[in-house]
Amino acid sequence: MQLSDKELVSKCRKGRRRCQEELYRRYFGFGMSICLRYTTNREDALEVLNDSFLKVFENLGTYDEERPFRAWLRRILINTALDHYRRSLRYKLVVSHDNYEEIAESRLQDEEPGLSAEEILQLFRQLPGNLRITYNLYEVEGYSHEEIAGMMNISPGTSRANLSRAKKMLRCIYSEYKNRSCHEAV
Amino acid sequence: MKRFDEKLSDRIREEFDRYDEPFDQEGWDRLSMRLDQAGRSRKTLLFSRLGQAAAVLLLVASAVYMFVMKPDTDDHLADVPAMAMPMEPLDAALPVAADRSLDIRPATYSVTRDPQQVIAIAKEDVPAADPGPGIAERPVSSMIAMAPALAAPDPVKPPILHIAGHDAHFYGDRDSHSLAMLPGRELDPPAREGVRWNMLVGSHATYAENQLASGLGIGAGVMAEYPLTSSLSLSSGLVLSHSNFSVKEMPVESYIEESDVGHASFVRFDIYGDHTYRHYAADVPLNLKVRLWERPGHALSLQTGVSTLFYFQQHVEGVNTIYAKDYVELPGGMHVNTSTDISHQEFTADDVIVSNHLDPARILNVSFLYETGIQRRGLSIEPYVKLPLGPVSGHQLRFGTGGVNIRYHIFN
Repeated sequence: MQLSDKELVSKCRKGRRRCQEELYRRYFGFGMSICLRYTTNREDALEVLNDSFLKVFENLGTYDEERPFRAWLRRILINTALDHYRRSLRYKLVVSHDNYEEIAESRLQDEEPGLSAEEILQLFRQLPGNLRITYNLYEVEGYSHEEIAGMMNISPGTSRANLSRAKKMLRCIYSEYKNRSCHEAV
Repeated sequence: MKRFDEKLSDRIREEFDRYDEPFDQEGWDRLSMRLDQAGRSRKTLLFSRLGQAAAVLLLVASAVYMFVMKPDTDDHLADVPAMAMPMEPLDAALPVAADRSLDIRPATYSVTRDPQQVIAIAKEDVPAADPGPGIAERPVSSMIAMAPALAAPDPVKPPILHIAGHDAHFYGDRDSHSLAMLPGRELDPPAREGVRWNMLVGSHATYAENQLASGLGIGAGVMAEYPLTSSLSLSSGLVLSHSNFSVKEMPVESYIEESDVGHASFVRFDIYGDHTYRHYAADVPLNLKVRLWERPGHALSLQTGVSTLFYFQQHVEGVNTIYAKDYVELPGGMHVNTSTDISHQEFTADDVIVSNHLDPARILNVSFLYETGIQRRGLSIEPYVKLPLGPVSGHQLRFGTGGVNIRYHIFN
């Protein structure tokens, strides 16, 4: 019989390593689905995931068992991914991302973006970090611009501008990707 | 009709809602290793915090002791009012050179407190005139010389100090050290002494992994004690020690392996050891000593600090008992122990090679010292414990010692 999240978390609080492994195993896929969207490669995603679980195991004492564990973990994963992004900024040059060809949304009006998760990740990896994170936080996680501003230490206006640029770049990247796929198919 | 951007974000949400990544064992192994490290550093941090707390407590206690609880206060003198002394033509009055200053050392005076001795300064015998300028600068010898002339029988006030070589009693000011002849207070003893050397021998019992181990150890060395204030001193030195101890049924290791036997799901190995250890080590302690209580010729002190140990010989021999327990998984996730194999593994000191090992500041020292003959030479009895701040020695054992040292003060 499988233990419930609540039971498993309770055992993890006592430091039982096998239960910690079980919790990690249970939420590995869920965690990676978030981490992969905020990072540019699988290795970084695994590092973010492990950093997050380390925080989870060290802070289980503060977790309110009445609230869903999944939501608490999601929040930790996102915060850890943002920390990871901030750290990575120290070592990376910030490149301009305004030189993409403007593609009007109307040109893609009839498109059905039938992309797989892998293809979506490929598109995301071409986005600059701040745009990728803003897009994920707003469009996928459902945070408001005010919340994103607080999380990323930027103004809500910058968050809106980042989202707009992210959408513009995604249209362009998607269009290029589709054309290339068509050329390859022909 | 939905716009492309909306369709794309819907698609992304859908894809990642059902996204599943196969479990990566390597990821867990890495995390497991980090959890182990985090656990160890948390323990180290805890001991470090405890050490800091103890140091702060020690400092506060020292401060309270030194600045609030002044020792040896003579309550019967506390209410005696300060009294101004007259200016006297000293040279004319007494055969003592006015410019000769008093050498205030412990050997030059002795304190007498006999309340029956009634030689003191009577208030009515002292003229109430203003002492005039320069009273604080007057040489002590002049004060001493002045005393016989001023002294008169008084059955109430006892004498305070008697100066060896001078047939007189006199009064000094504890706070100013000016010897301004304020009656009712005694002089402070000298604040600091020189470095004191101690020869030390001791015997100790050992406890390891939460059990008292059989066997006694010995230690001997030299310690130097440097006084920081009159009641606080720093000591360090070199102590060579030999510990020989045995522990029984000590948990050595536990782990789980997949079973290669058909019926069992997994095998759990629990290893316990009966080990005998022999350690030869050099101990370099760094301790802070606070004098808690003092009477002439006796003192009680608390000493605490850390020890750095260098183990130059480490031997272990003994027997490991291995319990291999087969577990079978029942429907519903329960596991039942179906059989247990017990085996023994004997090893000698030659089988386990442990090289020289240094443990910097990994032992916390706490001891009390009862000192006798504290001025120049004497003996101290020092009951002590040494607490490990983590696994120590090349055998990575959590062991400490407790015992008694005898110290002989060689010279100041």
